[in-house]
Amino acid sequence: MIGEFEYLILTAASRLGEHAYGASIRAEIESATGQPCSVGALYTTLDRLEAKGFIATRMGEPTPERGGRSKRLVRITASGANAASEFFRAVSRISQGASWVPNRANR
Amino acid sequence: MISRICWALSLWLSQALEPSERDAAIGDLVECGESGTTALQAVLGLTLRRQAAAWEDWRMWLLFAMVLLPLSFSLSLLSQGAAQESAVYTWMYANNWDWTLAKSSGFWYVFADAATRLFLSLLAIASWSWSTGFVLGTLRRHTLQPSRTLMFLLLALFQLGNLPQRFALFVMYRYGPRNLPALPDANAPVSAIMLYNVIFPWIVLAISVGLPMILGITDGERSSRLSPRWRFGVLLAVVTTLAMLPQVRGFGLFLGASTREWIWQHPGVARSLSLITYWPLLYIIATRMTRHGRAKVVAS
Repeated sequence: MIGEFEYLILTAASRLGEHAYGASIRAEIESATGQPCSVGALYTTLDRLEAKGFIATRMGEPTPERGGRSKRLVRITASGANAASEFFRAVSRISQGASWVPNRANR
Repeated sequence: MISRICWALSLWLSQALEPSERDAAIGDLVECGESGTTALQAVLGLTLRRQAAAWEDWRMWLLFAMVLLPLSFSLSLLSQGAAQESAVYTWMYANNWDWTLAKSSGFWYVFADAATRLFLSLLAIASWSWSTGFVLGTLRRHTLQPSRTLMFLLLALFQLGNLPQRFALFVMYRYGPRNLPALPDANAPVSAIMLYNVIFPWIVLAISVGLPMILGITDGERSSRLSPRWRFGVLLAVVTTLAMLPQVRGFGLFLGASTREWIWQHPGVARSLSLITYWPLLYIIATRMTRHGRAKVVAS
């Protein structure tokens, strides 16, 4: 099973679609968690996910707003989507009945 | 101003990353308009993670034990020995200069002899350092970066703690001849001066080890362009050169008594081996001249 940071990256990449790359994934994770996301952690995890076959990356074209540097574009693969979905299901299952789950009172 | 310095440092530090990763990471930081300190923190973090990741491979540990540690130790020991010797001669000539000496032919004879010996010993250290760098340069990129960093860190650490000299003294005390009378330090006036005792060894280390090793790493990286036969030949020569390290005086302690005896009885062989050690100088000159010639042809 993937780790929670890997799940965050996979989910962010999936939401961003073709606009998924280092900076946009970082911004997405930071806005969702409210925690800073380090570049080192992001890139080493991207490598790990790619080695596992959960994502595919390629270098984009250099852009002026990046000082003429390329983006590392990220695309989530089918097995990556499966892994993220499995993680989400596991988290959902184990969360049922937990005191901090909002819909507990309604059941 | 600080932000600019930090950005410059970040860009310099990012050289340790793979070119594509450097582009992606620095580009992200530029796009987000990060400050210099944040950029430096980010690049430092990424670089450290990459260097640390290399240590998950057992071959990196083997490289550390078989190449990095013994060679950094040996080169540091040699460099410190050469620094001491050059400090004594420099002190003798610079701090005690008398113009009447220049008129004495005996003075010039001793001066030429000392200068030649020092130059040749520094040249030998530089050759060994270049050879070490060459070996490192032939490593794969993800192994080269951490091993290069570690090599320079070890050299600095040994120099700071004077560790090889301490180790040599310990070995001499433990295994050397017993009951020798304690002699006063003949070089005390030199070692009392901070320039000779502290700064000089760093200068010698930089000139005789640091710079040649950087050149060696560059040449090792470029050697991938050579034909396999040539590359094998150069690598073989480099390894042979490094194998000659134990012949130097400072390593007498580490050789067996019979080997030491043999070397003392055959000084000509030791001298000839030293001559072979200098071949990297010819390689450096030849490769630079060839490259310069090619550049000239392209320019014309």
